[in-house]
Amino acid sequence: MADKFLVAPREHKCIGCNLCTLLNSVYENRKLGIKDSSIVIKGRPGRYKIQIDYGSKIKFPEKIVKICPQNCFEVVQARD
Amino acid sequence: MISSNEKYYKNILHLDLNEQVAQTKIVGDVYEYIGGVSLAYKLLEEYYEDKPIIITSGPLAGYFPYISKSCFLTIEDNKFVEKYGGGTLAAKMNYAGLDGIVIVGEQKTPYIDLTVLPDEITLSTSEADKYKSDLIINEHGVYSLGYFSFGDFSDIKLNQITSLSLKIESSLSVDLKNIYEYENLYNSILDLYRELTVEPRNNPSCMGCPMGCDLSSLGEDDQNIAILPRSLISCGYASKIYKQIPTVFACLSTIGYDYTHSDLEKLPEIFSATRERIRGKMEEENK
Repeated sequence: MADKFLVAPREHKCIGCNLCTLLNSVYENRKLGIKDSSIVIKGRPGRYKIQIDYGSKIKFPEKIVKICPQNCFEVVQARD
Repeated sequence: MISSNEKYYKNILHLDLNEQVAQTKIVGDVYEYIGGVSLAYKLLEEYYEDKPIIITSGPLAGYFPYISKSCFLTIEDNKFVEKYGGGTLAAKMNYAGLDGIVIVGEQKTPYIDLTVLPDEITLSTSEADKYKSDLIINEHGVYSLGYFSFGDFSDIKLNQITSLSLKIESSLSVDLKNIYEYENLYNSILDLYRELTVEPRNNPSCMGCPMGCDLSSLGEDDQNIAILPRSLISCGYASKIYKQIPTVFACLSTIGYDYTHSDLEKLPEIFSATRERIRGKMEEENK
């Protein structure tokens, strides 16, 4: 089965709420906090950047797509 | 889970501006104050003689939706100055295991920049980038990330500070006992966005809040909000959700706190008693 990846094609809409960062840590690591999250929000208000660590596999990318209030994320499938 | 040793005391960052020393300290016998405004007044009572500035977060900040504010408290001209601001400060304090910040003394250098790292706290006297600072206090007021204000400070002097900035780069992780319970509770509260008294927009949002409302940058000036939500610290516009004791009990319990319903019910009473004791001290001083 083709691998699925989380991408942020609408990063410019990010409002810095960090719901993605927190819940990525919850779903992937079963931990509360942002310390080991694969998603990091950088930048400043009005100019946020979404950094995704592709070195670690995000098992539930659809949940991250769903939680973002600004629809910044998508799930793409790698070609076989 | 919050460890059984950690949960019965509160951790504060104590900054002495006279000595330019910053260190973390443990404060005991304050567990019943939970956090936020209640803890702020208790810390104000504990450090009253030092004429402190107190900033507190709450135990749910960054863990549940719409819990995104910090409380700023001090006494000036014999009056309480109680303000609330958003941004990243509340969540980052909670993630770093800091329940409060106590600032005493008078700043002697034009700038002080504090950074809280996992194993140390660094203090420098250089100017910080305000857009990267989780907290900045200067002649313009009190802000997080240079954008999220703590309300109107135009008639507040804060003479003891010239420019103070704080970045928190330490973050702990708490094991979740029951991820499904947490996820269900989190999503059920998230779905209550219609109970908020603000509309969802696209503005920069406080950390932990998806609303991006038009008021996120303005701060809150001591509105008539109930003590329980202000002790967590809920955004004032979400206080209807966090006034409910069963909801708050479920949130605290899910992440490992063992507050009872009775603890939550008596919080307003112990808060009022603490504030009255401080008022008594203020009146004694002015005799």
